[in-house]
Amino acid sequence: MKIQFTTIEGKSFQFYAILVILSILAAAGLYASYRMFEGGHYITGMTNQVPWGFPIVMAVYLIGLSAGSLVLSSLSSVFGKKEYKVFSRVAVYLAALLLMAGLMSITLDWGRPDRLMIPFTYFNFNSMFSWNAFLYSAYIGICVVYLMAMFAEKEKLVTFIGAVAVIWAVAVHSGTGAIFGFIHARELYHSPLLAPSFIAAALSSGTGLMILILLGTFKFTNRPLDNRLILGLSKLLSGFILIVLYFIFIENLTRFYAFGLREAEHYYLFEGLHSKVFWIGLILTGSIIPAAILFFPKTNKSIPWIALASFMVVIGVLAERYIIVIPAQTYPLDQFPGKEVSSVFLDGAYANYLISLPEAAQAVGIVAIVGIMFILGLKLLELLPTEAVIHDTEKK
Amino acid sequence: MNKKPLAIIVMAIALIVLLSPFIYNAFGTGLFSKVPRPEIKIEKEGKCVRDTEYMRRNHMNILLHSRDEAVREGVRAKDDSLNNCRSCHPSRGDFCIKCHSYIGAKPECFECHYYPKKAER
Amino acid sequence: MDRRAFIKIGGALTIGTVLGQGFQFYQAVADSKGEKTSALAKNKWGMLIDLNKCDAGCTACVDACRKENNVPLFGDKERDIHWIRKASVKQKFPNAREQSVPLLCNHCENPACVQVCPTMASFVRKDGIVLVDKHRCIGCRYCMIACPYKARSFVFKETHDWTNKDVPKRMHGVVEKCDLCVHRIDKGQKPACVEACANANNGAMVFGDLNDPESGISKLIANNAVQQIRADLGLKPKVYYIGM
Ligand code: HEC
Ligand code: HEC
Ligand code: HEC
Repeated sequence: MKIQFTTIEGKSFQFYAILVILSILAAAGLYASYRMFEGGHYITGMTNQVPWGFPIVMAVYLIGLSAGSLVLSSLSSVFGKKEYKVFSRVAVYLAALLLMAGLMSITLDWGRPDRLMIPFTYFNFNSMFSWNAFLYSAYIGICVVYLMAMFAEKEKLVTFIGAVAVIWAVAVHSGTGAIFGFIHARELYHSPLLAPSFIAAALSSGTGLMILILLGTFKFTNRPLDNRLILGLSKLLSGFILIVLYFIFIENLTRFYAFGLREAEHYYLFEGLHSKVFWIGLILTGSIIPAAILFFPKTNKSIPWIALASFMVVIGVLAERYIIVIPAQTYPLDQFPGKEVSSVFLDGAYANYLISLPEAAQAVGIVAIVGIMFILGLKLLELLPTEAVIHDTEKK
Repeated sequence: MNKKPLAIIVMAIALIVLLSPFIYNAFGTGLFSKVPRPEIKIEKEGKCVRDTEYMRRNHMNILLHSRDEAVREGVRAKDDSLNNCRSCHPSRGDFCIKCHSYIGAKPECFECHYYPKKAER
Repeated sequence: MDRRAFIKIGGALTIGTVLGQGFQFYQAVADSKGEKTSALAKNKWGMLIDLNKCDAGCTACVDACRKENNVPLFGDKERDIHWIRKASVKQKFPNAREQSVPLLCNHCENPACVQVCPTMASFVRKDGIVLVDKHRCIGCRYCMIACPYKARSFVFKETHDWTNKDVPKRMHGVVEKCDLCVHRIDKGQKPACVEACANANNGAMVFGDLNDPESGISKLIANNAVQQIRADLGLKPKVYYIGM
């Protein structure tokens, strides 16, 4: 049974209403970026102690979602799960969009976004950023070729590019993790586990997002969607949640065990705003409750509950990115081990970071742009299948 | 079903965008001398650091080159440096800006570098 | 748009991107190899600060630096720019003596900031000075994340302080730090802080060539117990301290 992919109608009032709302949000976000570019970053919450704020959190998060989507899209072609072919096109398209959004978040965060081309003309072989500039742009190229192969229905080619795409997604997100993991100066960054745990978080957030997207688009377009598809994905999701938890546990245990790192670890877990983000955002909302929903037999077959769990995971992984990026900067650099330091430059002092309005507006705006592009993509390209029903003959 | 013209147009645009630096270079140098020049005040007699004709087209390359040499290699060629221009062209407003606003160039250099708009003395 | 058109457009764009990138990658490789040698290479500038001679109340070095390099104070503690600052350091011990330590860029031999800079805007000049090429800096602030000395500041705001017009002002959105007053070194002078310290004090700061065993700084390093900050990180800082 061949799957028919068609464009969506895209003429209803709701369709345009959504587009208009998203456009307003996007315009507000771009205006915030413009203010940052024109007047300087003093309007953001970033300081000289916390040079990387929410835009970087957002960038890492979006790139993670993208990598997760791309791996999911290859479930049918590379990992032989034929029933998931229905959303492979949507997933690849979304992966390309989300990566571009992540890049947008990074570049708009630069002090001089007008010097956009410089990283491509001067290349530092030692810098993870430089490597990522190339990994990212090739990633977008791979997504486009992958999508083209799918449109052309060339099965063998799709399988091949799918394999490349999975490898590339893993490389890209390991590279993103390495941006932080390679930093020796800050004990809360320096960790070889960061790359794999980034990938785990990418998979769990990507799966969560895919469940939400499938439920949303199929409901909105009134196309039939087989519950078994969502149930299958939710099984994957529950596994990914546990893997993410495992990485977090190991990483924190390692830091807790070393006496020299205990102070930092205590700060990480129990002091400041980020510790609340950690416990409430990541552990409770992002892990325990969704895991409970997905393992509890009364709820793990109900679509609304699964949707709720997916939503919580998607939010929880954003919290995870936050507590990876921020506390390592607010915790003071240890310039004089074993001594107390103080100065006008706030050496040795715990820094504060609060997300400012422009940063939040920018993040929302970028997500809105993804939304616009996604909806327009559904209208212009044959991404969505007419029906997503598992035929029992297909499942052996 | 036949969208061939569209595809060709888009490909042509993509090609032009990709080749734009070359096209720009090919036209830019030849084109510029034909445009009527704005009146600029040259306050000092004598010669510029290169031929006038060469300066007109390539002063930015001289500046950018001397900049990279000075900052990255420590070779401070006094003549070609941005700081030197104002010894003979003391007013940026009457010289650089007049020309630049005519062609719409807006170098960001003077956010950091000292070069008063009005000659000071 | 139908599938064919999409394939064609996408194909054209992809091929263009791949070719363009390949070319730029090739150029980047060629650029990084074609470095010129220069006369600078014979020197290796370093600094030594004798904390026993440094007066806790004296800020001559800091003031001189601000004046020489137009380093502004915005009055916003978290976003002020500091090229050199004085920190007070003491043991975690009751009644421990407080020590005033001038902190500046350590001009490491293996600088973490240069390692991570994606555009090579941060670089080590041949004479060992770590510089930011502000013409090339994109303001990504990765270097500020990587530097263990907090030597770098981001320019958050436009400034109009311009006490010394021979030295460029600053533009917001670029990272900057102590450059050991390269413009003075290239004229054969000493950094402004060192000069101010000599004038105000007994000369706690010594600047000189580490390659030359006969220079004042080399002798002091050879004959004293000197420390570097966080030498354990392996960055080989070139600012030495006596009596820390
Ligand atoms: C020694 C004095 C001197 C210095 C230094 C100098 N110039 Fe000139 N420049 C002149 C003179 C005189 C002319 C006019 C020559 C003519 O009319 O033929 C001129 C002409 C020019 C022109 C061409 C104007 C036209 O008529 O179209 C440009 C552009 C220019 N200079 C740029 C620069 C720049 C950039 C610098 C700094 C690197 C610089 N000059 C430094 C003396 C100088
Ligand atoms: C004869 C007219 C003329 C005069 C006079 C002139 N320029 Fe230019 N300048 C140009 C043109 C044309 C360009 C190229 C614009 C472009 O590439 O977009 C340019 C570009 C530049 C650029 C590079 C801009 C960029 O965006 O990369 C710099 C820097 C520059 N000029 C500096 C100066 C300075 C400094 C002076 C005064 C000493 C000066 N120019 C005077 C015509 C002039
Ligand atoms: C962000 C601020 C900034 C901007 C913008 C900027 N510069 Fe600079 N420039 C500097 C600094 C800082 C130096 C280093 C001075 C030193 O090392 O003595 C410098 C050095 C130079 C030098 C070498 C000075 C010498 O001693 O010979 C040249 C030439 C130069 N810049 C040209 C330019 C030109 C041309 C532009 C515009 C395209 C420009 N700069 C834009 C900050 C800036």
